[in-house]
Amino acid sequence: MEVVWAVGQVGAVWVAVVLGLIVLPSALGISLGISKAYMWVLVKTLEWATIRLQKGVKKPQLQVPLTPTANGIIERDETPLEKEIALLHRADFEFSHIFYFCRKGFEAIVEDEVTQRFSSEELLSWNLLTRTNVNFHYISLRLTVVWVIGVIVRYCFLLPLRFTLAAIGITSMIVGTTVVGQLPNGSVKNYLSEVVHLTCSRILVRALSGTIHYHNKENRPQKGGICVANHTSPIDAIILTNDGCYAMVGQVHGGLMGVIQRATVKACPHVWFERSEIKDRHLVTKRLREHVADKSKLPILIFPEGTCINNTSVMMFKKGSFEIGGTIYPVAIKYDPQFGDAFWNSSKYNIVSYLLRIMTSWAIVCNVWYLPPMVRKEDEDAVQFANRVRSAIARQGGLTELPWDGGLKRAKVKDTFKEEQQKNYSKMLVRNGSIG
Amino acid sequence: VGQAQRGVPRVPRGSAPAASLFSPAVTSEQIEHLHRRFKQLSQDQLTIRKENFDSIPDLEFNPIRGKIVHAFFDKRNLRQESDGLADEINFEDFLTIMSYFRPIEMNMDEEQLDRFRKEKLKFLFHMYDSDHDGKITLQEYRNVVEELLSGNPHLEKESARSIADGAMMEAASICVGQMGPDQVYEGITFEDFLKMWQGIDIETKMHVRFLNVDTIAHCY
Repeated sequence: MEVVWAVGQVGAVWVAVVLGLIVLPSALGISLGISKAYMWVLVKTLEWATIRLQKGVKKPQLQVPLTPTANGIIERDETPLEKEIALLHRADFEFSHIFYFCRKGFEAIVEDEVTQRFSSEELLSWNLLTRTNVNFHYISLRLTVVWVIGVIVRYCFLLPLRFTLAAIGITSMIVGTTVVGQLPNGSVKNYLSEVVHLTCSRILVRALSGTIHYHNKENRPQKGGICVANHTSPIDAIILTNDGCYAMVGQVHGGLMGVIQRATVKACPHVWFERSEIKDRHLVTKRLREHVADKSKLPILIFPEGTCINNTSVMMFKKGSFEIGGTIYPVAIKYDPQFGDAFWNSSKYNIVSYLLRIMTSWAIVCNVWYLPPMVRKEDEDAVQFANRVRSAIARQGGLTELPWDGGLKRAKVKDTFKEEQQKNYSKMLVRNGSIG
Repeated sequence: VGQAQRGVPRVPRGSAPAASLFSPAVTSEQIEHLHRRFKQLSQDQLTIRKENFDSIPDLEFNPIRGKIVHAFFDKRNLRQESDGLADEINFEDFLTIMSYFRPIEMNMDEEQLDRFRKEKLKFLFHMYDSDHDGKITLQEYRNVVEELLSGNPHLEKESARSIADGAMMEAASICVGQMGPDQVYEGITFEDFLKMWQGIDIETKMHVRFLNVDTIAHCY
């Protein structure tokens, strides 16, 4: 009996602390500076850990050139095909041509640019999370002790805290939006729905220990526009709604997600599609067009890549989003992998284990850049426009651009691409006059 | 607080050929990387089959893709006694094939360099010589040219043939010199092949060099 009462007391204190220090400031939109202090301690500790590692390693460095790019483990020779063959002399067809393709083939086998994007980025320094470093060796007692303390802090302190916050956040979102949804349509309802959405987003961001820096806030998406961003994880949406209200677009799910969807759509005009409707592209485009045409509605949020990429590059944007018309507001999101890997590898982890990993990382730190709005030009088609937007996002976020389709995670290369390359090669041979 | 690498099979020291290939050049980090790549390609199985190479988008572009994949399973490249093709290869075999693409190191002497070069050329030779008879015949050469030009619908078979014939003639003139009118050039043997490549610096062209990722990355 006494034990139960004691536990109840502790629980009450816990909830009071959480409410007072975290939930209330979120509602009011102010910051108590706790996150900043936490980040400062974290950064100092990681710096110390890195220095210890450097001291512990005493290997002679080989004289191999180049600073390693974060994008690969092998040195790629980027000489184009023509130059290479010219270098190997004899414009006639020779065994030399085999070299080029042989080497390219081997490079592709050791490491291909595409599949690489679907696994997490390799870090160049260790951040005390074994999951980012496959070969973890014993270095020194002090480092191990710090690591163990890190594990305890993360699993026993941070995880319950974050879990509580997430639960509070989701519950208040559902309850809040249901309540607001009962009101008659009008400016009061819109205002209240914005407040509810913002507050719950803020709570959820704190549930992930997120530190987000927004740049160029003057370019924030306006009503009646379309906001496009690169996609790394499901929490991208939360990161963006932390700073403004958007109308989400997506498929109706079952379970908890479905409950949230049904509740929020009452308060704010999100666009949820049934599974059957998604297949019909015209229907989708029509509905989105109607939404955009209504200037009083919130901007739509779309992720044109269609799947999660590991945040080192931006893959092909699907042209559907760019056919709707209206003004496009591009947003670039770049996560800092130092503190926690936000990428969701959906073929490796399911959503629950992904969320668990996120909640036991140190923090989620990211930069969000709002880019100036873009409109489709007269002589551009949707694909060119999509590429233009993509370049802008890649440039701002410091990501590389790949012409590949995110769908390659699961499917194979289209034959049309293959034939292009082969045509180029044979054209070049013909030009060199090797025939006859 | 772990000890040895998790899940990396030890390359058995007993197997002499493989061990001798891995003198200082290939570090254990690189083997780690290759092992991770192997697991990715094999989808966590212990061996790779031909079908596993289908999952590499970059490779799709390569016109001689078939020959490259073939080379992985060629028993001559795997240094096995028998001939023909293996059905599947394990990680050690994978490393054996990869070793053909090692870059040169600074400290190699004449003899090592020569052996190095011969090995790379042998690998290339096996690529051409598809029936494993030790000679590259005109037909085999034609096959290679056709494959290289396979994507272009505008190039007729005739053009591919004439390219191949022209190249074989040049090869003959290098290897055999002036031929009499009724002499038949059987095919390019390995010695002839070596002769053709004399003086041309292939070692620097036929390798895949690993970037030296700072030792900080892996806490050794």
